[in-house]
Amino acid sequence: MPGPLMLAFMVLPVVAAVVVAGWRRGGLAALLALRLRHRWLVLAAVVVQFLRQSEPGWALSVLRAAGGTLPVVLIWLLVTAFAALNLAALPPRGRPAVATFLAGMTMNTVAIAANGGMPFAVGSARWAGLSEQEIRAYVPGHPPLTTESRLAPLADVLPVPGVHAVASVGDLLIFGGLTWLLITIMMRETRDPEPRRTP
Amino acid sequence: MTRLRLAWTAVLSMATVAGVVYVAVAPYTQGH
Repeated sequence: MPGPLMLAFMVLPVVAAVVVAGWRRGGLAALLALRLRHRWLVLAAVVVQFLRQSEPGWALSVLRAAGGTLPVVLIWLLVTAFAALNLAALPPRGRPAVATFLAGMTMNTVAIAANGGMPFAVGSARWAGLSEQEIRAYVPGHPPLTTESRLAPLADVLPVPGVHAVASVGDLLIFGGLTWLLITIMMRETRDPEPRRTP
Repeated sequence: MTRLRLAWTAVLSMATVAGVVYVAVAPYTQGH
């Protein structure tokens, strides 16, 4: 189970967006009333991600196919399809945010596909405050970064000391794009107010 | 009925956002 700090990190995009734009009149309502299609694509991606993390024995042959890249590519396909099918439902100013988010997911997916997992820089992990035991522990899909790793700049190389984690450039784009998108959704209501009715 | 529909839309919206956040961020829960 993730610790409290890690959970806070996971909800950071939503919290940041609510802090920036949630206080505006109609802001939260705009987010809650969002009508999105093909939500099953997100549900399917969640199921794949959950299986990828929990690694149940009955699914190992599929999860570890092609060096473990099959589920990652599947998640990328599902999320990209969901975003593409819902672009019309999003405010026009939110579309660059979607592109930023997808660029981050693509960079992470490419790095994982090239290495059979997302490599992490051991030095950055130490800097982030991870113990030697945590660094040496086997974590599915997270091999240490070596000189033989491919596309090293796309790997987890950025230490995040507060939550004892190492992030990638793609992660930053994912966080930034998602936060930006949620803000544009919550600000749409205030930018395009309904015309006042005259008595 | 309208309120129920609005509430249901809100639940679906939040669940979708939570799902996207989970899919995008879940790798962090592994430790590194």
